[in-house]
Amino acid sequence: MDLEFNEEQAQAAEAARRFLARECPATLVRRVREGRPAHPDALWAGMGAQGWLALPFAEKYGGFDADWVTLGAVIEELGRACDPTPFIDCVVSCGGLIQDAGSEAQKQRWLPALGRGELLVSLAMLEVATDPDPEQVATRLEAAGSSYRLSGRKLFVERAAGAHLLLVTAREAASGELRLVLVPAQEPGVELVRLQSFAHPHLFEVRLDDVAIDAGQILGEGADAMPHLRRALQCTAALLAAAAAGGSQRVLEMTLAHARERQQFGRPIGSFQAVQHMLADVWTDVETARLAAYEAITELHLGRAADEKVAIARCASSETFVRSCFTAHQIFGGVGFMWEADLHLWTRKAKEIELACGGTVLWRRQLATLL
Amino acid sequence: MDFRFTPEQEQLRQDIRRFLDEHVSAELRAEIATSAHTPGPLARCFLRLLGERGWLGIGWPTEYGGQGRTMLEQMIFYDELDLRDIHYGGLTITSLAMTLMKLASEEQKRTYLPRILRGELEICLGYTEPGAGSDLASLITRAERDRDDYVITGQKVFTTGAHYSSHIWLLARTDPGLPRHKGLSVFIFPLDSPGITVRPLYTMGRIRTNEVFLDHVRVPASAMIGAPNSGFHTVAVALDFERIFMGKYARLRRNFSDLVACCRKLSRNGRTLLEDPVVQDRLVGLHIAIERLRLLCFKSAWKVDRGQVPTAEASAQKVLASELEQRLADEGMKILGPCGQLESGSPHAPMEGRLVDAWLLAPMMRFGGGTNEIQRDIIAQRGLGLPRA
Ligand SMILES: Cc1cc2nc3c(=O)[nH]c(=O)nc-3n(C[C@H](O)[C@H](O)[C@H](O)COP(=O)(O)OP(=O)(O)OC[C@H]3O[C@@H](n4cnc5c(N)ncnc54)[C@H](O)[C@@H]3O)c2cc1C
Repeated sequence: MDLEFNEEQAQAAEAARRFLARECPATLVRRVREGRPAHPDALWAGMGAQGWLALPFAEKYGGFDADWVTLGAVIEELGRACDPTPFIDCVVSCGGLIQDAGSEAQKQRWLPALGRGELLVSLAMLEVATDPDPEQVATRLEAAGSSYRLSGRKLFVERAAGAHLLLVTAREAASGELRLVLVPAQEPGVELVRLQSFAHPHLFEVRLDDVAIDAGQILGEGADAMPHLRRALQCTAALLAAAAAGGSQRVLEMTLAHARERQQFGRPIGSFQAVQHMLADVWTDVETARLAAYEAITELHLGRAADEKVAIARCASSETFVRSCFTAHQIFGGVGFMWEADLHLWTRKAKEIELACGGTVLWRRQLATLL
Repeated sequence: MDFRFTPEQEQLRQDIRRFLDEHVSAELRAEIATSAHTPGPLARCFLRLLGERGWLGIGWPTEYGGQGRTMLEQMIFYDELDLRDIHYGGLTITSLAMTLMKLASEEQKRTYLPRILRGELEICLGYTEPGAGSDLASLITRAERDRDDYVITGQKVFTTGAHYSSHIWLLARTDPGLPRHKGLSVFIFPLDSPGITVRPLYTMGRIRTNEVFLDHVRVPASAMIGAPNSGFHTVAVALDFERIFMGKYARLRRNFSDLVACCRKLSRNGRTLLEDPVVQDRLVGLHIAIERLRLLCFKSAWKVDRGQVPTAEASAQKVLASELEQRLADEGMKILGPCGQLESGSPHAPMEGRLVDAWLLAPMMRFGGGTNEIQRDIIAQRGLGLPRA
């Protein structure tokens, strides 16, 4: 057993922390949340220059073939920094799907550009307002001669307005099988409607009205894409757990600093037992959430059937992040509630992560079937 | 034992409902929903109407022009207001005015009480300072005697309502020579007095609050409530009146009912959300918790009506209500699925985004108005008689 990063992974984490401390201050997080700008171009380019956007891809597609733990370490740091980028959606989910399900030509075409930060892809998966289940797909892909037509409606698509491509899940009319279709976001027939979420600043409804699709836009060779999607969702879930662990760790640190600094009744509020107990509980949560996240990530790393560990990590770390923010607000009191204070950026992020990619509910269901 | 309201109390509720149904227009409710807790012209009008019809004095003794109603009857009234999201003017009526009756001079009573009763005065609370939150007695805003006046200099923070209120109820240090609790006094004076600057503070919960800077603000000695250096006692009296109204259940019950209605309407995977056993179990848990809170609210009001002070009950009410507010919002969103995160005005937003609003406001409920840690201290020490740490 070894519960620490190896030297290389530790260096990646360290470098990421330094880079983000410089390039991703809370002021940037705040501006992107407020939509000024909606996409942090300079940060994204910087992340591209660091090689992060190509970490999971094979070398022949311009990638680094990074191990899962290294990827997790970088993502944990992104969570700490409350990063306002589409890293997980674009690189992990969509990039992962292209690499996993795409044909050789498609990988050659999309992955290097994605890895250089020139291509933004958003996953368009969910369709039902109340249901996070990715199998509830009514979007139809219908053959029309040698090409296809795509119609349907997607919800909760992240940053659709800034994306170049939408990776749309659809049912092929003839077979009823799942297909993954890359659709340019500005294509005729694609309409974007903004949704207002307190958690995610840039969510959209995507309406697809008889969009023309050619075979080259459909990932893979026409086999059922459900296993690919499941695998991508699993990797995404494990890495979201790392982001949540990083975020909650940071919130714990901010809260500890405040508890040491803030004086009431002539002593630091951190000296009150009630405050200490709250912080002790947060620490316990955070510590176990982080361990759960990396256990899940190492299972992926070893190529094992990671269903159970991933589900546990996904749920534990998200709950921890939200709960640690609730406690942070309690210990910060009035100053932490101000719009100008940074804490609520993490509080909203905690919910963003909880709900990302179908949210934790999905994984609780999954876990129930594994009991 | 009888846990029911009397027929007279039920009748009162019907009368209040009829009055509110008639006068709380859709326009008023829309104004309230979008006004970031700042009363607009319609809300002001409505407050005056409440005054005219005698409702503002519902709990005041008849000698001050009130209806002299019991606490249970007041609870019925405020619950009905709460159900319609009307929350302006409450504290001025239920806490500050009651404190004035108890501690103010005859002249102060004559000056303030009739105008409060007519809904003409709104008074904001100037307690908290940057260095003095839970530890209010450490505040440093100074009020110095100068012949017949006091000259006040300092800074208040989180002074909610200071941008629209007519007056401020302010705690300041009048004698720095005395021990911390002893050298404080309460003043009440108009917010347009020279030397006052109000700056907005915006919050994550949409509610706006303020910083108030006081630079040599000159107020007459007659602005002081009670004897010099008795301010901590005055504030304690006001807080005791305030706490009874702090943890309320009506709005939680309403949001819960709306959530249930939503679950009956929305479906997932071929059945309504309400048919999902996981959802049912979560809802049942919330239901029970809200009932506990309701019972505690009844107990507090009932105790007051018997001439007792519901110290532990009122604090427990505040703790339960605030933590339940957060739980209801968070679990409610989970129940509704991904659309739970959508705010009012967004396509697909369930319950007009009300759970989102509650979620964003909930942290404040837990630490505002005396933090839940302090409330638990009160339950343990004043309620259970345990020794102080
Ligand atoms: C939106 C908003 C509106 C407000 N409106 C008003 C208003 O109109 N007028 C007004 O005067 N104030 C107002 N307040 C201030 C509010 O009452 C204070 O925030 C509250 O009293 C807590 O004080 P604090 O924020 O300084 O937190 P602190 O007192 O610094 O407390 C921080 C943490 O330390 C804990 N702590 C402190 N002392 C102890 C102890 N002895 N034992 C255990 N734990 C302890 C607290 O429980 C809390 O968890 C408002 C605040 C907000 C955010």
